[in-house]
Amino acid sequence: MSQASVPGVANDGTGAVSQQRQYELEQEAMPKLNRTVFQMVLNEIIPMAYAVEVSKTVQKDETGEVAMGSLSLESTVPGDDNTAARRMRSSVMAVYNLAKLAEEDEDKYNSVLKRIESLGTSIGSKISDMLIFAKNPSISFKNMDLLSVMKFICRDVWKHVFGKQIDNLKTNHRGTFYLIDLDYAPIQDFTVEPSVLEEQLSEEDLQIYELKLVEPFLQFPVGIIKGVLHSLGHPLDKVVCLATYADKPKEKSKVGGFPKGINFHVQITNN
Amino acid sequence: MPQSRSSSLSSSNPANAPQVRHLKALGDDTWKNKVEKVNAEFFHLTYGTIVAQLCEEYAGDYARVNGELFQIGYNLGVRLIEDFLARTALPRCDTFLKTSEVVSKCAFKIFLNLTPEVAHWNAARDSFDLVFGENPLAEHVELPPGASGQLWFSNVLCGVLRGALEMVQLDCDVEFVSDTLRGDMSTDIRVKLNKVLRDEIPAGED
Amino acid sequence: MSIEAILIVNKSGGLIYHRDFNNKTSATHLNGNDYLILASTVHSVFAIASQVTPKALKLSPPKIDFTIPYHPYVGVPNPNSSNTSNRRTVSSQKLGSFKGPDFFNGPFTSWNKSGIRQLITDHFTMYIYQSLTGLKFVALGSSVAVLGKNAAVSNEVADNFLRKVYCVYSEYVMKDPFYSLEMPIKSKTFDQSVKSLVDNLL
Repeated sequence: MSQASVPGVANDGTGAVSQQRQYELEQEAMPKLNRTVFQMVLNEIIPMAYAVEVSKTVQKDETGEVAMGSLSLESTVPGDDNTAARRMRSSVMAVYNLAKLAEEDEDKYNSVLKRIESLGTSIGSKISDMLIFAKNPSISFKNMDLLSVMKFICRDVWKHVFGKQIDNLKTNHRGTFYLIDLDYAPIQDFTVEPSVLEEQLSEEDLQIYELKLVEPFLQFPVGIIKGVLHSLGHPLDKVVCLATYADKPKEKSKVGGFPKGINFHVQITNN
Repeated sequence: MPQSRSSSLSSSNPANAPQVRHLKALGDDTWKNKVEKVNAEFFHLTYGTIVAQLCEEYAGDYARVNGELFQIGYNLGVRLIEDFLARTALPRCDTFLKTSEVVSKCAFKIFLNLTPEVAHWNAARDSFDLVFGENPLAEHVELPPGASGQLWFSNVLCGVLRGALEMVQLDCDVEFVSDTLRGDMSTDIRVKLNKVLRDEIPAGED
Repeated sequence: MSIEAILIVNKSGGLIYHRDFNNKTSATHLNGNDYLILASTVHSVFAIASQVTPKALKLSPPKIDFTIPYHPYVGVPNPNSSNTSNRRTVSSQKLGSFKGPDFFNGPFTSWNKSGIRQLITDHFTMYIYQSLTGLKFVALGSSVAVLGKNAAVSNEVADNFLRKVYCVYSEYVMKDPFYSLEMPIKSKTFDQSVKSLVDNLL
């Protein structure tokens, strides 16, 4: 596996610099909104995907009792008089129940994951259009080979959507890529609340459980990657993308923040 | 409901002008300097995709889509209110008029970089409309056929307002009453105060 | 002022966060249960205090100014200080989405009009800051505030400081989809930020 660098913008002459500056000014002038809102909406995708799955289940079971079981959105925490807390808890419980679903009904779990991924794909396939039209002088879309597309994802797509670039891009120059994000932005503040769990878990088991809980959230960037590739000429059925956890190197791990980085393994088959 | 009513209720009253100016300045300043920003088009793209997917999943049951969008908004609202209060530390609004001004000039500015107009107060002064020109979350959106009479595209905003106001002990009904996406003249959200949740007001405030 | 402990109490009087900062007095440490009792006691006493306002004051309320003046850089490194190590910390200090050298830079109104704001004893001082949503941020300081003007100033500094803890709460805890309201806070990022606020106070 050779390591391809992900260079920043090169200052190779006054012409390039002023073009870059103009692009930056244009970008600054574009209408914007609060990143917190954007971030929170992205996070809401997961409970929403779960809720849709639940409501479809309820729809199917028309006759007799509906065994909601772990699909129930109602919180069982006693002493819940506070409406806001109660309603919020049912949506927060959705993310915990989703992990339970993984064990109880794999088909439904995968259906939820697919839903999250397809949201990412729809968004990803339109992002490249947006960024092309922004006329970023450091991206040239003519004759974009696969490596350039991957660099585009690592640099521009990630920067725009998540606020930072991918840390590392590795490739074997034969269609396999590893995109490594050591501090994947949306999950940095995630912390599992142990008292929600039914049994007491050891420290290790808790960590494993935490990773399992966060898995669905990773389907969204997986979808983004596939969507961008799709829009730039690599159809969805030719692309496989899997997200796994990556250990952080010692220098990178700071106190707080999510304990693992994310490794996106992308495999593109050519015919 | 025993809310104190000032005799001058319109925000164009000169006595209220410095307060309104202060709110506007606070909103503008916070937006400019104290907030991380993202390109609006990414948000619109994301939100639009969510709405589209919900419409597809619920196959035309737009009431459910509205409900889902509202729920998403509600979850956002109860979280964003803390961000808003920590950032601005604004005192409790003593009139619903004040609430409308804080919402329109400060809150919407800080989170969406928008300042809707406040209009259509009712006679009892417990209901107002937030008026947007175009639908604020819909850029180049066309509603699918059949949705026009039923889908409220930006229903998430109603959920946000309901959740946030509930956290500061105001029980309100929030809903869309018109939408430019449906061909209406403007996009209006109606906020109606049902009651102040006196029992839940934290101790120590008079 | 050095902070011994920070507690956060939710609307119902439950303890959702607690952290000790001074390890020297481990002999006098309370255990977990004691802190729960402490939190609910503070909550109840706070509510009672607001009921105890003398009738005379209720009938003709004096004009009290509830504005808390801004004390610059409480709990964050001062970028203007001549201390060079401080300046380096400032550049690496990230206030998250709050940007800039400090969380806020103006005076603000206290939401706490008739509850307890400050409790002075011979051994410690307790400061309470309550948000509009009913969350109470409690700081236990080791130094004893002398009554009078000194006490008022230390109360203002404490309010500035606790508002920043509130900012950090909204920044790191509210964005966690695994966190539900009124539940204990387990976020390590939040912990770390509170610790750095306390460290910077010395």
